[in-house]
Amino acid sequence: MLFSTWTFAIFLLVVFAIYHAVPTRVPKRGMVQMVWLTVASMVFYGFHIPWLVLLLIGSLVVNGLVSRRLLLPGLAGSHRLFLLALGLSINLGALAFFKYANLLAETFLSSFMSDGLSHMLHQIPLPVGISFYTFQGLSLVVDAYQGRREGMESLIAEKDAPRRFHAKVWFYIAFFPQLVAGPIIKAHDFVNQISSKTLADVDWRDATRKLILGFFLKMVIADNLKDLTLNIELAQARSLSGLTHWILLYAFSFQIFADFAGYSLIAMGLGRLFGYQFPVNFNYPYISASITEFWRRWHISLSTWLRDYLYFPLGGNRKGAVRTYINLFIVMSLGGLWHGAAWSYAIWGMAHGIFLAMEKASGLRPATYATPINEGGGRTHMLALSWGLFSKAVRIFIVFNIVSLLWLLFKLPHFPDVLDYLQAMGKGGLRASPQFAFVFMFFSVPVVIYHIWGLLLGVRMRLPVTSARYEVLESAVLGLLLFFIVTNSGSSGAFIYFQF
Amino acid sequence: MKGLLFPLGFAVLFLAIWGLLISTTHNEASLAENNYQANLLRIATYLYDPLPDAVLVGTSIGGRLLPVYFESTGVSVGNLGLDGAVPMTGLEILSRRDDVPGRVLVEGTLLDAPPRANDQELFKGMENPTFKLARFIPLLRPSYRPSSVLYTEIKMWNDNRTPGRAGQPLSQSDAVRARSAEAQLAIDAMVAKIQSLKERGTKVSIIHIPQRQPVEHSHPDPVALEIAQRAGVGLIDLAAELAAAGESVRYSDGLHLIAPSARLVAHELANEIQSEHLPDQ
Repeated sequence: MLFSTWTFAIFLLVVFAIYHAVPTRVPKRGMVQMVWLTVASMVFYGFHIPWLVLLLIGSLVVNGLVSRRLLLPGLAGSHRLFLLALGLSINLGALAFFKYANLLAETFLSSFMSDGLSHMLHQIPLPVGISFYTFQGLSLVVDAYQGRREGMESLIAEKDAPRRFHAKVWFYIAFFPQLVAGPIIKAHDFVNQISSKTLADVDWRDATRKLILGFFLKMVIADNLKDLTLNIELAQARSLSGLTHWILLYAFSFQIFADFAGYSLIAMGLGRLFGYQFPVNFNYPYISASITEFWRRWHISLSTWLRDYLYFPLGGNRKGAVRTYINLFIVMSLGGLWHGAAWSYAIWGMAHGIFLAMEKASGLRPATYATPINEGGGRTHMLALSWGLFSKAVRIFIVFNIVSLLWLLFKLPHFPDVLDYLQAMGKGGLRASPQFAFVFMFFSVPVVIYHIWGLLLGVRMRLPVTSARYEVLESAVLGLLLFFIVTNSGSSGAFIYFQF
Repeated sequence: MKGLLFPLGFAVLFLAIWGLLISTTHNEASLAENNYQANLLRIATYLYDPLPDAVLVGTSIGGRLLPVYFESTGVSVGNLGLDGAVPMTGLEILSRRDDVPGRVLVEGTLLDAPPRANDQELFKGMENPTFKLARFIPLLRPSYRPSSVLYTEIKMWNDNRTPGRAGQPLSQSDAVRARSAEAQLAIDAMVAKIQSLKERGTKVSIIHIPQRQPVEHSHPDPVALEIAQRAGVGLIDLAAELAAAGESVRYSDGLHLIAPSARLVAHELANEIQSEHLPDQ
């Protein structure tokens, strides 16, 4: 079920109304609400392809059983290790089968494969959101194995009450706002929030802000740019000018940001409506002045997951410089492959890994915004500040271009097509299609403004973000965004990250 | 709740101002910044506005003959010239209204092409609840999209100040092609569709819109001639009429008419309709 559909609007209204209508005098109200949201999440997930629910339930059962056993005291070390291996194998096995079987077989077994087997592998469907809920399941199993207590108290307290324990695990993984495209929430960031909620727990201002901004980014920006960036894939578009190819590339950069950040904001806003808070997933990524900083701002829930559950276990940066670079390369390559079952995604990840390693080796530090722009004084100070801002702007421009060029691997999974596109970008011609230029300008400006706002917040200007006047101004801006959602949405399309 | 109600209040205010502005200035969009929206705009206008005297169905080439160009001619002509779609799609959409237009003008381009993915997308778009609601809430109509209103203004301004380019013909229309079974099926379906419209009392004609420069070198597609003959309908050769009148046309991209030329062609078509030169059917 897509967030940007009328079906979802009706679904949400019904789920929200019943959730908050559970009387406060009902015993175990929190449990009733949790079960209701879990059931609703199953309906949400299986709405178009009901059998997918069975796969999800399989994942929930395995992760619930394994993590509970791991949390029970008195288990021998070898037994615990076996349970960990079992949990990891089942989760990763399911992911490998549904997502990578075809790729792996085609790459390594193509000469041995019969036509029948090849056809069968092609028929394996990619269950929507499997990458996301599998990672959440893995985080639960690993946290349980490591005996992590911080943030897990609420779950650990239920280890002797299997029903409540499993109900919480099911709810944590299946909660519909984040089920199919994240943010990837770690168990220790969520389970302690599970409790009885009332309307008073709803932060309306924050929920409204996130929902309107999220829907605006998705329905107005991403869905309108989608029809433009379609031209990146069309071979006949290669005859267009070099400038047009640059426009299309930047448009895709903005589209993928608006699509994914929009989804994350909607998920966070929906979570708020039910009294839950999800971690921030995007923090103005296109103002990053280094690739390292980019990964601290882009899909934060994935990068922190990879850091906690892959980079650190591999040794992180504790085993010398060379090993650090290798670790970064491995983590980013696998992170790339997480996005899709094609080697182009792995190459994309590898390229990011190489840039991260290069930055690490060069000692490049993420640019800071620490100098308040309207504090201090003196000519020297202003000169230093101006130079700092200028050099930062140059770095932001370079990083944005590197990131944008690498997005090509997302849009064009076949490497020769990427080379063709790069060649087309390099050819001359400053004449751009007026229609393309218009769409690009109209729908990219809001993304640019959004990031400038992030930049201003970053340099800690004295923005009156808590004053009453600011509240009115913010409401007016949100009202304007809502106006555009109503009048200027694009053709609805699935969220790009659904395929991952 | 204040955090929710304030933005809602502002949104209602902006919608009211925009609706008032567009309806009082009559600055509704007649073009859109992408093909999909442009098509929805034309379809909504056809489906939700009063039935015009005649309706043009076809491709993006015919789509340039905007209804607004006919306003001064005394003939109202709706437009279902759909970007990236085939004329058959326009004919299918015609029947979505309970009442059928008295006259249908079928553009003689791509008449042997079967519907493709673009055409399916359009039918899907028409099923969208927002599109259906637009029948009752004008603010939801594609012609009220702020981006399309702005694009229309810019495009019209640009077309009026630039000389345009010479035309180039559609490659398929150059000569008789080797006909595939799929194309034959599409032609048969087109003939059957035209005949069913005729049976409902609609007068159908095929029109040839100029596709190259000078106009006297622009000739009707042989497929169009064949369909006209088999279905027993007339063919209006606007290129020949314009050539006879000593007029010339220009294109934005070698294929699609710029606004002044499209206006000229529209006037020529209106003259043809009014002068009752259409052959009896």
